[in-house]
Amino acid sequence: MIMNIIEVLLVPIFLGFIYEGILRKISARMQNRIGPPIWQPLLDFVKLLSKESFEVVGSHHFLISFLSILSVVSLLVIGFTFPFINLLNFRWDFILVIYLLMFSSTCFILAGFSFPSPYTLIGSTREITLLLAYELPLIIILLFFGMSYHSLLSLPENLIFSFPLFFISFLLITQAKLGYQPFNIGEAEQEIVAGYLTECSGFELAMFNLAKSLRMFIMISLASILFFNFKNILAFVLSSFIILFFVILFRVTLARFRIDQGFKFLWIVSIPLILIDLIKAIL
Amino acid sequence: MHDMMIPFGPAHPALPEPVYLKLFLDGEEVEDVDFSVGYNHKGIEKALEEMDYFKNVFLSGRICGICSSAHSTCYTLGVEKLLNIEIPDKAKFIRIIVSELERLQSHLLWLGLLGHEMGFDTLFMLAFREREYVLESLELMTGKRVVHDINTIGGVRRDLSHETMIKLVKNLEILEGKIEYFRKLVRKDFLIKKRTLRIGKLDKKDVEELCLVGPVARASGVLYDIRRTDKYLKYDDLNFKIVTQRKGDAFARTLVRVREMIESMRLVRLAIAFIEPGPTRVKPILFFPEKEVISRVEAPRGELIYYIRSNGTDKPARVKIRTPTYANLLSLKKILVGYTLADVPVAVASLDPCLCCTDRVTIVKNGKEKIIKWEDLHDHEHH
Amino acid sequence: MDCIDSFNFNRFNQGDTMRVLSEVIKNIVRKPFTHKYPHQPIVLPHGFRGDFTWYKEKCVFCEICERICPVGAIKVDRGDVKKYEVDVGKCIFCAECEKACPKDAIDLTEKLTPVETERTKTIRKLQ
Repeated sequence: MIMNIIEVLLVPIFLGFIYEGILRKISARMQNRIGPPIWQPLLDFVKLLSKESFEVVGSHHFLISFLSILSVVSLLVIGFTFPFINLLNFRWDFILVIYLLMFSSTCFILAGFSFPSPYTLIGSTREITLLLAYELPLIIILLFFGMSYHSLLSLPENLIFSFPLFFISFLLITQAKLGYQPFNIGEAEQEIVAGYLTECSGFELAMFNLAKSLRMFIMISLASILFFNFKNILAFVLSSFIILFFVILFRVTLARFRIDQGFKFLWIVSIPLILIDLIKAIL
Repeated sequence: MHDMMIPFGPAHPALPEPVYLKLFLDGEEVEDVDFSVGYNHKGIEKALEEMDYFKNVFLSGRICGICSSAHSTCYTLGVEKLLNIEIPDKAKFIRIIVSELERLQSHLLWLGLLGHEMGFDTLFMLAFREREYVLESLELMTGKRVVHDINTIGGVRRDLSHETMIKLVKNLEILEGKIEYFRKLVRKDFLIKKRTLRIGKLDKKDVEELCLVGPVARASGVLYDIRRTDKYLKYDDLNFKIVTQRKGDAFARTLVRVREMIESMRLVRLAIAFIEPGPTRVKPILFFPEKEVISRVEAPRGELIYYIRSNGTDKPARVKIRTPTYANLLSLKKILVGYTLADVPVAVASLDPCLCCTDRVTIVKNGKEKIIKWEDLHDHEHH
Repeated sequence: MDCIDSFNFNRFNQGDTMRVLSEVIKNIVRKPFTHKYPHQPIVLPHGFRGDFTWYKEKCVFCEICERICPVGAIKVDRGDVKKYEVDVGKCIFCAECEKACPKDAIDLTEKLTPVETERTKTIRKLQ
């Protein structure tokens, strides 16, 4: 029982770090340089835990630490329900997935608002604006799957062939949710230093980075579960890597949008694609 | 009315230059800009008065890292005008080759920085990869990659051997294909256009009123290039084009600089073809008259002016340097007000600021700041 | 003899990302351009102005190098005990001493200077 709990906590964290390490290594190779080793995010996490965290005057230190832990915990709860990790027999629930994904992003935004710094204020404002653009398509897709197939066992295999436009839209949503180019607007390094993570350091920064890696693992595994086969572990891993490759490819070949261009792009491109597939499925 | 002031501070991860921009924002739109420079004041003009003319050549090459040879060439041209000596032709062609190779590496660095400001890290890595070929050519010619130390009063210190010329031409052939790739990339990539088109617009009237120099002026239609007007070294023997654009936004400046890279490579090839065997330096007769001279050079960022005054001794009495970035900074208010915060790094980077060679003398009297004009500096002579 | 680099912007021909995409896919199979210095050594070209070397048997202690150095990094003592001192931390590697020495006793080799962590260790007392 104890071993089950430890395994179910550690497997998403470990896989999240490995995914991020693969992303950094392959995007470095695509830019014709060597790149860090694959376990670099784990080393960064361990080193950050040993650093001092500065308390900014005018912010509540306890609130920031609590929000950082909360964002990690909410993503771990989604991880409990995934197949191959579900050793505690939790029930899969689409509404829970929608709620917890949005909740973990909200923790980032609240942390940004609680510092008295203009950089974090602008970063959080931009992230809220982007949230309005990509959460709606995500909710539509997940609700559609939730209402058509009520549980994970009745989900058919290889849904990508019946809903290809959903898949393309889901790739754009993943890019916006994970915060990589062209949608890394909340954390634009060149304009607002580090966005909502500017004033974090030490333990809180380690937790927020862990939350970002976990978010990557959760979103990519979610795409793999919904659109590909999850009953066979080899097919699951292979489809995860294909989706990871698309995330890396978008990250490397595209620059960053301005906030109004990103907002318009998501509304103009992903909503019509979803509506076409939705109408085709209803009829 | 603005409700927030963001300090685009001296230490910022966006710009590698220490300039303090105060942006007054209303939401995301920039309403007012205030800036101050002087964080990099090194006391160069005082240090140049402490050593004699020959040792100053090395100090003037170390004022800026990117435009090192431009400063050194301008200084030696000024001193040669003072001593009234004529340097041999081979030295002039070697100086042209080093200056144009330096313009090439400066524009490639700028292209990488523009990509970095837009979040396009791949363009940064690709531009710096091609820059390695230029730095390797400079290392073969002069012995160092960044600070070349090739000039001396009376000519150049190193000769250009036949093997080096062959390797230079080979590197140029590789580079021509890569820069043609960059030219097509900048014209066709849709995100570069989305981030730089219609940003930071400067009309021809603004350029003439504010006296802007360099590719910033040429991108607004003003035909101003010191290589054409002053005809220093041997530029009037070589056939090259001055690149202009009409629109004056950040995209036009990008196109101007990429096209200038192609012209620089062409100039290097022509200079290599024109070189004939001969001496590389002339021993100057050291008689310094009491005169003041002005020399101008087209640095990668614009017009660089040196004013040297001598009082008969072997050390200069006053050296004043006017860098091109100092002139271009006056346009900051025009290119930032009215655009959003996300356009600020792109617009500032399109000016190509090199603030390590810009310093302004401020004298603090009674606790208040006072900026000194050029006429007051003329009276301040250090003994 | 001037050129206006013409560019027609068409609202419907916004552009694409094909250039960067092709370059990026090609780069996956290429060897990386960077290499791991200092774990892998680099080869410096001929004529590089690097580490300072002094040949004792050729030197006649004429003190030309001390006078011509722009920063004053060389100190020569011509007294009864001949001493020669170089502060490599002050050296700007301009190679004026190499050109000025009448006996070719100074050479700026093709090696990089080793790194020191204390300011006093950069002064080399060559005997």
